[in-house]
Amino acid sequence: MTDLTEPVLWYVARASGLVSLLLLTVSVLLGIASGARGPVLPRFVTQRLHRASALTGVLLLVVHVVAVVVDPYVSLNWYDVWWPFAADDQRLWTGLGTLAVDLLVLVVATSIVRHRVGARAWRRIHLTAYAVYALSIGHGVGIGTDSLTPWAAAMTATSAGLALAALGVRVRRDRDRRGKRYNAELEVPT
Amino acid sequence: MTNCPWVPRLLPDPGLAVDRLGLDDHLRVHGPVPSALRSGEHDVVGLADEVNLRGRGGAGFPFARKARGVRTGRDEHGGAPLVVANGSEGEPASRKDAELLRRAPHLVLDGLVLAAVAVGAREARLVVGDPAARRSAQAALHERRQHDRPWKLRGPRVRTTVVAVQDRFVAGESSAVVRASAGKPPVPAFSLTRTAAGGVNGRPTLVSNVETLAQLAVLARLGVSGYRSVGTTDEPGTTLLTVHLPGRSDVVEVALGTALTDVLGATGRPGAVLVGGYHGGWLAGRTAASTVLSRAGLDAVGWTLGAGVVVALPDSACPLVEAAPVVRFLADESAGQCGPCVHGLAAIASAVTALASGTAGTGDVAKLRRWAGLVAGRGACAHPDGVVRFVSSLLGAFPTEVALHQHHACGRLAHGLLPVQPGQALGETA
Amino acid sequence: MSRRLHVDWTRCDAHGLCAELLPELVELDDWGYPVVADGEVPEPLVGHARHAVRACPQLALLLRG
Repeated sequence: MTDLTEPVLWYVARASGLVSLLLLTVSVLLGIASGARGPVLPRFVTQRLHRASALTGVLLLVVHVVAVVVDPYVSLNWYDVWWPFAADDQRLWTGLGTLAVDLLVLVVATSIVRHRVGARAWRRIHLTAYAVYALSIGHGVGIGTDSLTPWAAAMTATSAGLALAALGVRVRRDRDRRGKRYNAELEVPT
Repeated sequence: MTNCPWVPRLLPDPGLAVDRLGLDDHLRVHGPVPSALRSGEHDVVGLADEVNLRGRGGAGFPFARKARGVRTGRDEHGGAPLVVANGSEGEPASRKDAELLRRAPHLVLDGLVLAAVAVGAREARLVVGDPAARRSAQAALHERRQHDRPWKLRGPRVRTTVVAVQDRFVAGESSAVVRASAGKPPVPAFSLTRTAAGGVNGRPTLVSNVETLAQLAVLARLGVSGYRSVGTTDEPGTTLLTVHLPGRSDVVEVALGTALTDVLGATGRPGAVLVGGYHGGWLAGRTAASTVLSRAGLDAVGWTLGAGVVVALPDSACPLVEAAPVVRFLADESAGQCGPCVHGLAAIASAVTALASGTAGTGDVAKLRRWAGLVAGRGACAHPDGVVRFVSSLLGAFPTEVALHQHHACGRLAHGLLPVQPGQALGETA
Repeated sequence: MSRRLHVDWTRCDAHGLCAELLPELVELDDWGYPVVADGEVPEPLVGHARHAVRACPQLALLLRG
C-alpha cells in the first residue's frame, strides 16, 4: 500500500528543520546584538525580536520533530527525541539534534521563568544556546539529505559564518566593556 | 600632644607609660565586667540608650537602635545571631581602631561579649586590617583562653574568631565587612533587607565598630552617671581621633564637645581643616576656629565626626593641590561593581586634578557639580556619596582658591600631606 | 499599595531597556546608567514598570512595595 503522505511528511520534516535553523540563526544574531550600544532599533525591540524568532523557531522545531517521529519511513521513536545517541538510524547526527533539543528546552524554560531562576544561573544556562546552535548546524549538515545541494550549503555556511563573526565582535566588545571591573586587589588574604 | 585635653578612658593614660594592656593590667585598671551585664540579667542596650551611645565607625548610628534591630530580625526571621566587630579601618588617614586594638584589645573583646549577649549571639567575628592590631587581638584571645578567673561566670561563651582583611577603603563598609567575615571578597553587597535581618548567611548580624564596642565595655563598668561625667549632656563620653598636624600624627582621646582648636593645639588660627576622614568635610580656618567636636557641633558647620580623622593643613599648603590625589585615590578604591561610581568618580577625579593644576576652565566646575549630583545615592554603598561630600565641601570651603585655579595654577607644590597609603603619616610621600 | 523602583547597581550594565520602556520615570546619565525618579510609581505606570522589570537583561531592576 503506497501511502501518499510519506513524501509530504518527509518534505515537512526537512523544510521545517531548515527554516527552524534559519530562525535560530536570526535569534542568535539578535541575541548577540542585544549587547550593542547605539542601536538602529530600540533595544527592547531587539529583545522582543530575539524572543519572537526563538519561539517561532521552537514552534517549527516541534513540527520538525513530530514529522520525523510520525513518519513511518524514519525509524525514530519518541524516546530518541530526548535521549541522544540511541537511535537505530544515523545515530550520531540524530544524537546531535537530540542534544540540541534537550538544551534548547532548558534555555527556553529558564528564560520564561527567568526571575525565579536568578540572573547568574540564567546567564550560564543561556550561554549554552551557542552549543545548541552549533549542534543544530552539525545535525543539519550531517543528517540532511539536502545538505550537499548548493543552496543548502550556501545557506548553512552563511548562517554559521554570520553567527561566528557576530560572536567575535561581541567578545571583543565585552572585553573593554562599560568600564566596570571588580577591583581585583580586594582579595581576602589567606 | 601638648595642649590636647586627653581623657584616658579607652586608651591607657599617657602618664602610665604603658604601651599595651594585657589581661592582668586590663583587669587591674578597669576591673571585671559586672556579672549582671555579662549574663544578660541587666540589659546593656538600655544603658547604651540612656547615654545615647553612637557608632564610632563613621555613620554614628545609635547602638541601642541597631541592637534592637538585630533582636527584631532574629525574632521575625530566625537564624543564629552573630556579632561582627569592624576593625578593618580602610581609611588611610585613620589609625584609631588599630591603636585601640593594639593597646587595649581586652576592652574591645569585653564589648564584643556584651554585644553578643545583648542580641543572643554565641558567635563573634573580629575583622581586622592592620597586622599589628590583628596580632594584638589574637594574643588577647589567647590570654583569655589561658586565664580562668572571671570567665567562668554565668552567661554563655561567645566563640570569637579573628578575620584578617586587607585594609582597603570600601572593605570597611558594613556589608563588605560582613562578607569579609564569611571569607568572601570584601566588597559591598546590594540588599533591600538590612544587615540586622539578614547579614552573614542570612543570619541576624550586628556590625559594630571596635571603638563602639570598647565604649560599651567602659559604659558597663562606669554605669550611666559615671559615663556621663565627661562629654556633653546630649553626647556624653569620649571619642578617639586620629589627628594629623604638620610634622606629626597621633591618636588621641578627648571628651565629646572639646573645641577643635584645643585638639589642634594651634597657637594661631588653623588653615584648612578636614574633619571626619575622606568621606568627611573641609572647614576653612575661621570656621575651624569656632568648631566643637561633637555631633551637634559638627552638624552646625554641616559635617560629622565620621571616622574621627582631623587633618590640619598649614597655611602654606593649598587644599586643592593636597586634596586632588586623595580624590584620585578614592576613585581607584571603588569596588568597581557599580557603573555610576566607577565612571562618575573617575570623571570627578580628573576634573579635580585639572582644577588643582590650574588647567580647568569655568565649565569644569559646573560639570563637577553636575557629576556630584549624578553620582550620589546611585551605588551599592555610600562610597560615592562620601566622595561627593569630600569634594563638595572642598569647593564650598575654599571659593577663592577655586576661582583662582580656574585661571591658572596657584604655584604651590603638593606636600603629600594627606595620606593615601594605610599607616602613612603626614608629610611622608607614598 | 506603594511600589517603588530599585536598581541593583551591582548588576546594572547600562543596557538601557528600562529607559526605553519607562521614559516617564527613567532617564540615562552620561554613562548610560539609569537615573530613576524618586518616590512611588504612579498607578497608571505600574504595568509599564513591571514590563521594564521583566525586560532588564541583568534582572537589575526591582519593583518592591
